[in-house]
Amino acid sequence: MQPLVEMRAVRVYFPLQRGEIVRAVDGVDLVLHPSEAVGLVGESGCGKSTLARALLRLLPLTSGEIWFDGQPLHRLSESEIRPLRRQMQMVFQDPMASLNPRMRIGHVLSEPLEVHGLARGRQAWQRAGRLLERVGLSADHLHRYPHEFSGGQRQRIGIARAIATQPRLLVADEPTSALDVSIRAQIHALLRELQREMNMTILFVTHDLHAVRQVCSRVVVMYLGKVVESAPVDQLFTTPAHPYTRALLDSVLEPKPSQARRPRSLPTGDVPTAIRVPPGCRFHTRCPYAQERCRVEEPPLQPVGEGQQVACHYPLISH
Amino acid sequence: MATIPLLQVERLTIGFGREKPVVHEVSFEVMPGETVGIVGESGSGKTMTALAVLRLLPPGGRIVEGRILFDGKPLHQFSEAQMRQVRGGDISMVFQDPFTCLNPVMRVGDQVAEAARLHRGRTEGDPYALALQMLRAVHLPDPERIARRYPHELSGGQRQRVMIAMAFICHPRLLIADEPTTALDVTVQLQILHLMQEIQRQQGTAVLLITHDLGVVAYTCDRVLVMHEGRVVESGSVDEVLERPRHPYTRRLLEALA
Ligand SMILES: Nc1ncnc2c1ncn2[C@@H]1O[C@H](COP(=O)(O)OP(=O)(O)O)[C@@H](O)[C@H]1O
Ligand SMILES: Nc1ncnc2c1ncn2[C@@H]1O[C@H](COP(=O)(O)OP(=O)(O)O)[C@@H](O)[C@H]1O
Ligand code: SF4
Ligand SMILES: [Mg+2]
Ligand SMILES: [Mg+2]
Repeated sequence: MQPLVEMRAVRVYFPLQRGEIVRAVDGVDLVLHPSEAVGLVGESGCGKSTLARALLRLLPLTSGEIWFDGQPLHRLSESEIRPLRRQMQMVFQDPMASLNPRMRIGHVLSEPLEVHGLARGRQAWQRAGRLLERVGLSADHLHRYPHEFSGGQRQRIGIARAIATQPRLLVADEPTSALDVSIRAQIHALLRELQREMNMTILFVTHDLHAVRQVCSRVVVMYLGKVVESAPVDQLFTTPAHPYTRALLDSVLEPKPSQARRPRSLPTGDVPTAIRVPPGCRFHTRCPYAQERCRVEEPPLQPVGEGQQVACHYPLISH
Repeated sequence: MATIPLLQVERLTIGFGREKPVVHEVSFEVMPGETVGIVGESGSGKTMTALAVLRLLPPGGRIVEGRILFDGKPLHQFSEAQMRQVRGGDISMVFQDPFTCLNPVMRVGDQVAEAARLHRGRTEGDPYALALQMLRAVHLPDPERIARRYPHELSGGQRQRVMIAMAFICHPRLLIADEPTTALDVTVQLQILHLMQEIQRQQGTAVLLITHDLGVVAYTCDRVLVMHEGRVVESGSVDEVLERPRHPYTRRLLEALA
């Protein structure tokens, strides 16, 4: 199957004063297939948002390639990308930041339709009403303003706006991280439903492993700017291959006391900064399995088992 | 002989102006050495409950009704001067964001020492030496060097360790921790919870742990109160409440995590 998205050796660096460089994304290969919901997980600062924005060309690449449906996004100019924009949309953590507070919801939703020449005037307004209903709100809400909605409702509006142009790719960056758990689960169910119904590819960025289970079929784990593991969801949860993935899973505290008190293997210390990335395997400073080789040689991402890839010299499972 | 509760909160009602109360008739007890969790979604009144115990409600907020007894003494009637003796002494606190409690222009070693200096009667020896000892007890690498740094020069996990060092330096009998690990990376969160438990056991401290995370409650608490819209909807031992929830709201919270 032809991938919808292919990222090759993508790097995004941010130069700081004093000649320091933040290696936010540091050589990422990532493939997204059509109609696939992929979770991108990792702790804050590991480069998830930077990668997501780079994918949509909202940030310049330092190096590397991004192919979207066979087109080289990395080589296209902004005006050449514009017609592709309706096919790749984004949902942000804070929908208010992306919704104009002085625009009625009807306008917020019909704007992308008009910009991309999909509908105008009354027709666009009617489609906006149907979009609202599709995300669990009501067409009566078209005349209201963003501040009249709760956090969960606003995120539904953010999603409605993103799917207005029937994109093939939806990138959602921590869309539910600011919401309470019960509302979170409802938004996850909505995303899952929309993904199936519209055959969309979703890149779901989150630091919440629970969320990944509720939305995705595959998970990609990042650590300090690099992908360390990729696997189907169930496989990742039952047989993680990377020691960092194991640590992330062991950090999840289940709400049942009987499960919460299970034994865990946890890394020591804090996550290093992306300015001073450790040499060799970047997890070696915290890894309980680190050997001499790990300090000098960077492990490439390679297959271990069905649909699973890992970047570790001594994976926890072997083929 | 039955032990008397260390903290006893009775029908606590908190209001702002004439608005309807944000905390309504909340009652609970914390026994010596015990860890009690208050869990609920945002806005449910957890922080206001904790701040009322410390008598640190924001301007406009007041205890409309109810009693707060610490070791039998009526905290709700204490003067501000008396409360200053209690805070950081018998009762200390750790918050989600260390920046709200740490002075940005003071070296962390001096700040931890200052906490000891404020309650001289509770500690022995040179406050700075004690601070270094505490920084070592919270497993900070190279405490002498860390002590000379400013808060912004530390990582999030290191700052939270400093907060814990400060909170425990005077051997409090009760620690109130409001979302102490919410701002941390997940792999660091557990290290911090372990650390709090370790020192809590050494010193025999009781803990009132406030969190929105049922996993944190399951992992650390003996008993729990579930709050919803300013009221306690369910309470009991952690095993009871989380394994066999009775209130529909508690069930709903648990189902959202399934
Ligand atoms: N505009 C920027 N300038 C400098 N550093 C940045 C910028 N954006 C992000 N970073 C840094 O890049 C790293 C990755 O950030 P980010 O992609 O936001 O991580 P995540 O989304 O996983 O939390 C972090 O160290 C962050 O501080
Ligand atoms: N300064 C204030 N003035 C008026 N209402 C407040 C103030 N601070 C908090 N509240 C209200 O009190 C309620 C409980 O807040 P809080 O205890 O902080 O909730 P939690 O900690 O459970 O998230 C909320 O509805 C909040 O809006
Ligand atoms: S390569 Fe070595 S240090 Fe890195 S994760 Fe694997 S075992 Fe640990
Ligand atoms: Mg981010
Ligand atoms: Mg709070």
